[in-house]
Amino acid sequence: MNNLIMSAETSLQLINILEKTISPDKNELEAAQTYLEQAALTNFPEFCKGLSEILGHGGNSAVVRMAAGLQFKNSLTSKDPNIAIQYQHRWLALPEQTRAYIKQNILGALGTENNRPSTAAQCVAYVAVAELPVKQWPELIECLASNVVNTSSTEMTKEATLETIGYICQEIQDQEVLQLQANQILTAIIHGMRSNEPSNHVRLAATNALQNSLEFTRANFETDTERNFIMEVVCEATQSTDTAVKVSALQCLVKIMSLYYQHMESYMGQALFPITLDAMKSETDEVALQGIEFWSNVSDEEMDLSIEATEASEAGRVPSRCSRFYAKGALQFLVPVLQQKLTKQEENDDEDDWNPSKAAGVCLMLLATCCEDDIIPHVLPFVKDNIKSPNWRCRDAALMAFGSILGGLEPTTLKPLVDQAMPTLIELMYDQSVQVRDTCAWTFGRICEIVPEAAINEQYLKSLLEALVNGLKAEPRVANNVCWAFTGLAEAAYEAAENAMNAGKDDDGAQPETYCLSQYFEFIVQRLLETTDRPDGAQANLRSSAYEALMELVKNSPRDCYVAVQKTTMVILERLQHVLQMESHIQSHSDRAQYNDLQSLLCGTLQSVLRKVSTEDAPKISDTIMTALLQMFNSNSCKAGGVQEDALMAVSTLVEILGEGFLKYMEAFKPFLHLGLKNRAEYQVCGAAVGLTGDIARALRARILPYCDEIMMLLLENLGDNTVHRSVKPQILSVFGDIALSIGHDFGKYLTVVLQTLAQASQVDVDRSDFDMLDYLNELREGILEAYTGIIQGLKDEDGNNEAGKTCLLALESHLPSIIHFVSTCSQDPDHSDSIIHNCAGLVGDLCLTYGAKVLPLVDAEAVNEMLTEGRRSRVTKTKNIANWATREVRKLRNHATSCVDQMVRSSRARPPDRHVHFVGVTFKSKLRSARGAHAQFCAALTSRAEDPHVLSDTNRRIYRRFRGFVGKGRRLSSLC
Amino acid sequence: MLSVERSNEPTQRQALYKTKGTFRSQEEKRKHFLEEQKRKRNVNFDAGRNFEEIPEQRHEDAHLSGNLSKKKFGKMLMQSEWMEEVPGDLMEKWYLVPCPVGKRCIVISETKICRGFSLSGKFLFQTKALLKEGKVGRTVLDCIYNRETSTIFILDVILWAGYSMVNCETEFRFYWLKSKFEETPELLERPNAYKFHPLPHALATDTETALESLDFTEKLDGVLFYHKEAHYTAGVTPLVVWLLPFMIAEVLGISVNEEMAQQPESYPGHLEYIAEYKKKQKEKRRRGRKSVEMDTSGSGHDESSIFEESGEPVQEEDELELG
Repeated sequence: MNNLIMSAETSLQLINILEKTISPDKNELEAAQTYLEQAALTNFPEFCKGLSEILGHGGNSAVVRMAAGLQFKNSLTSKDPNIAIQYQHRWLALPEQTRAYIKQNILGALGTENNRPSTAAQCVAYVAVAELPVKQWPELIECLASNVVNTSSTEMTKEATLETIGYICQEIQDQEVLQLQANQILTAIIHGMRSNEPSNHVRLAATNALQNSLEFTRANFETDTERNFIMEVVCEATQSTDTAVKVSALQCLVKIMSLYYQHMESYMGQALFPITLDAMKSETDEVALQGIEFWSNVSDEEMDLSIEATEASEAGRVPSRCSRFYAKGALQFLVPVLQQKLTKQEENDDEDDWNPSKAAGVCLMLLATCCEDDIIPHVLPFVKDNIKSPNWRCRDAALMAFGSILGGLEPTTLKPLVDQAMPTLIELMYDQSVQVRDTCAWTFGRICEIVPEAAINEQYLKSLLEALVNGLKAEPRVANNVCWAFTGLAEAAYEAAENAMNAGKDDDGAQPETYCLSQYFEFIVQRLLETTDRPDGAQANLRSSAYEALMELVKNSPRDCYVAVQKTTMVILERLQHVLQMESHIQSHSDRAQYNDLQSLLCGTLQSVLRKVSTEDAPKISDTIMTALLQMFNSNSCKAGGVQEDALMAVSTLVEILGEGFLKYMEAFKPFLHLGLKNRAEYQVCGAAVGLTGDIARALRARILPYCDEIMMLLLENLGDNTVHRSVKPQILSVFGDIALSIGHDFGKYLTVVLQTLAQASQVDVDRSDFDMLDYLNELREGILEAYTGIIQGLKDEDGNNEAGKTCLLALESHLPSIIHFVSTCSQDPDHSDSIIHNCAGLVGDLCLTYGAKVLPLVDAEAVNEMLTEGRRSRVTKTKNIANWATREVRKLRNHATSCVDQMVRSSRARPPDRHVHFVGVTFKSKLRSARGAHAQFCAALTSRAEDPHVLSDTNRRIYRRFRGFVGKGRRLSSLC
Repeated sequence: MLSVERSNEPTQRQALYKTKGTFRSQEEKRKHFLEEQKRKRNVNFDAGRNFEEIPEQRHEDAHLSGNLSKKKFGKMLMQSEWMEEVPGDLMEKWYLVPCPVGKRCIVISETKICRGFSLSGKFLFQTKALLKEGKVGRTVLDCIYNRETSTIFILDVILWAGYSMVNCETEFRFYWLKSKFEETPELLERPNAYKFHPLPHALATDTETALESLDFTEKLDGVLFYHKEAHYTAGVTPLVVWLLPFMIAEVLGISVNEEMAQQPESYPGHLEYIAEYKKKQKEKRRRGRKSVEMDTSGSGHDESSIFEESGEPVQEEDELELG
């Protein structure tokens, strides 16, 4: 065993170094760290052994032991999950003997430290995290359990051991690893939690460990006796005089409620309700917060259950779990306590603080969503009694209660309630207390969002607008909420006008002539523009909120506000030019950040005004806009990804309104488009550039051709580059489709490489348990389908005289079976999205249009038919329409084939039979192979022809000619299959 | 250092405090922008598709009993123009179909039942399904319904057992109808009062013979001429033309029997009659429109004659219903 132990000399040296890891001298500190890193690299086993010895040796100083433990722990885990796995493998690769020695040291160190939390506990836990999943260290849990239960264990041993258990439960992701030993773990934890445990430290460590073990002790919770026992211990712990234990026990209750809602019935009335109500009333904030959280959590849970119940009843099944409506039953007791807490606002509120008053507001909101109208009788009296109170806390609490419950109420109850409150609310916008004005502005924001029809009520509109415009000049936080209210107001007013306009007609999407804000529009815009210029605009996010409100107002503006929109456009343009000149004045880092934000906001606002600009006006201002944007691309601010992205998006909007007119800027803009496409580090910028490329391709059509070589090269490079974020890649494929459609047969030169790329991308599959990756797979497949669609539509030769196009079509022909195979793969994937079906159906229809009868044997297949059926049954109208169209295109081909055979049989009787019968035979056979359901018709056609009295020579000739062409195509196609 | 405080509820709940719902994050804006690009791309793709031909799926509607809204079924049928001049290729390229008096209607036969609707979507009759063998697709026929004799005269076929005939030429459609009814005589043996009667067609060269030997006893309403190569299209088409019995002799220069030759009083001649008729019809329509607006079933039209809409260009192109 001797060779296992480090030489005393080495050990001393290590101790020296460890002491320096907390040195105030920066050089010493760095030197120590370098040494330790080196030591870990050169001789990892010795290094670990040394550290474990130092940690285990009680004679060493607490600092050194802690540092040793920390170094050891850091060699076992990392925040980066990939590195953590590497470290675990490095540990497991050590000789068993070495590991056993180290484990003995660290396990022995449990309880020998005087500091909290224990370092040894972390060391043991991370070795366990590496070893337990691979079925090593089987005796550990038993050893830990006995540490806790053993009457001779010291307080420190019990505490450190329970901490270890807590860490292990928290860190081991695979719950099956611990399930087998759940009983031992739970026994130890419950032992430490008992009310007769004298040490609060032990109780706390045990209670924290319980929180971490709740997921994998499901089996224990399913058994009545065990559950009763656990619940009893937890409830007892909530009565501890020690706040930390009490809070941790309450946190356990919150979690148990989520995990085991269905088992809580027998504890609710007797224990959980009185315990949590009592906690809510507590003067200790942490305790009160947990009490409130319990009921917020119950509301969440019961909302989920009610959704489940609705879904189940729609699907005609019995829900697997039912709500017991605890929240509804407890309302009358909970609401008064919450309202009491609402009045305990901080005098000087800090946005980041979390206190019972704020938690009570949120809890009321959740209770209202859960219990709906039932909450009204409990809240309204409080609102009425306090809203005019001389005490600002009461007025604010009343407003908060009112604003919070709005979201849960039925529209029929809500509207009269808000109507009635309107005059008082408007008055409160002028309150002397900033808190009250803030809450009032927020309440207006809620009203505009939830009951917009009450907000635009003619009776109060003018005074409401006055109050809001006045609020724009108030403190930044108040003004910020007012901006939000304007956002909702604009949307509500516009929607109302749209609805009124569409009531008589059925065309949607047209712009209404006017709306209720028209006469105030310019004034509001003016005030919002002033707000964006406020010197304190950086506070409470006010500047960006004001710009956001401006954008919404412009977006939702009717025709008669166009002049004001035009004016706003000019203001934004001026500001853009002005801001570009300001760049040289930037001094500090925060100046730069504000300056960049401003540019982003101006680009965003520019987009919203541009969308409203008429097609006649667009060319008049486009030069100025493009000049400003080019200047921006040229400046330093576009080195910040955010600004570059927003500027690219602004160009997209310009492209949209100019269409082909964008061509004249192409030469000047090209370098910046390329820069964007090359910005692989900031994938959002790259993505915006790719999207913009597609927009340009669609707008310029064939005129994008001179720019294609470079663009295609950049796009293909990005596709092949692993450093390019994956989210950009599906977009690139879609843009191939845009370009192909625009340049038609000129895409031929890229065809080979693009088809190859698409074929490769079609092979991609992902980890099905990862939802993000599933989304990605669907996006990628949509991209591929869009690329094929663009290529095929682009090559469809309308005049039929283009040789280059024909060559491309021919080249594509050999890919058709694999394209259809891909369509089948996508549509049969159980995880496919509706858009996949939309794109598949579109592609199938396009193939029919482009290739005609040739593709019939390919598209008239089981999988394609199923895909089309699914599309026709889609809830999405667009998908339904396109699937109907595609079905019809396929059917046309099928019917055409049928009638050809049909008529051919007839003509065969008019002419020398042998040749014609031959033709009929060929087609009939090839059709039989593919056309489902058409068989009967063919048979009927063939047999019924025998008695046909109509023999018309010129028709026959025509049919004969057409038929000959058909058979020829059929032969070529059959060689493809 | 590890933390035991892993319940993240404060931050989660904190986000809900005075939450502002509609302010969109940069990420949401980005998503919106991408969706918008996707939409524009689809519009671009759709422009290359002969989308105007998309039939809306109206299964649900057709399963409803009672009337169908005019918007849905009214203009589905193919409608004739007046034969103002004789087509140059009448003798080579046209069929004629003598029509008995009755109401033009669309007949929809499904798995169990078969129902007839007027041009304005009004429910006319219901009887047993036309095709009985197992589960076949829907059949849609273009017919004339004579209420007095409860006979449904079949003019044309739009959909047969789920197979669209819309893109087939007249020659084929007529042949199909004729052979189907010859193959399965049971189709005509109806258990109840409603009788089906496929109207025979003849070559335009045989007009005289065809008119001498009508195979129905009802009064002749007029004669339809179908171009052999015409596909079945919704609305008015110049490939189907219409003559009233008393115009036949005058326009085609053939002799007809006395009953058919019976002209109305003060008959001004073929073209003048048509012009007069159109004028009257226009006025009637203008007046009728007001009452139609009140009448949701759309029965504001006078439907005494089956082809009176002739010559009036159809305002809205309506699509064909395909099962």
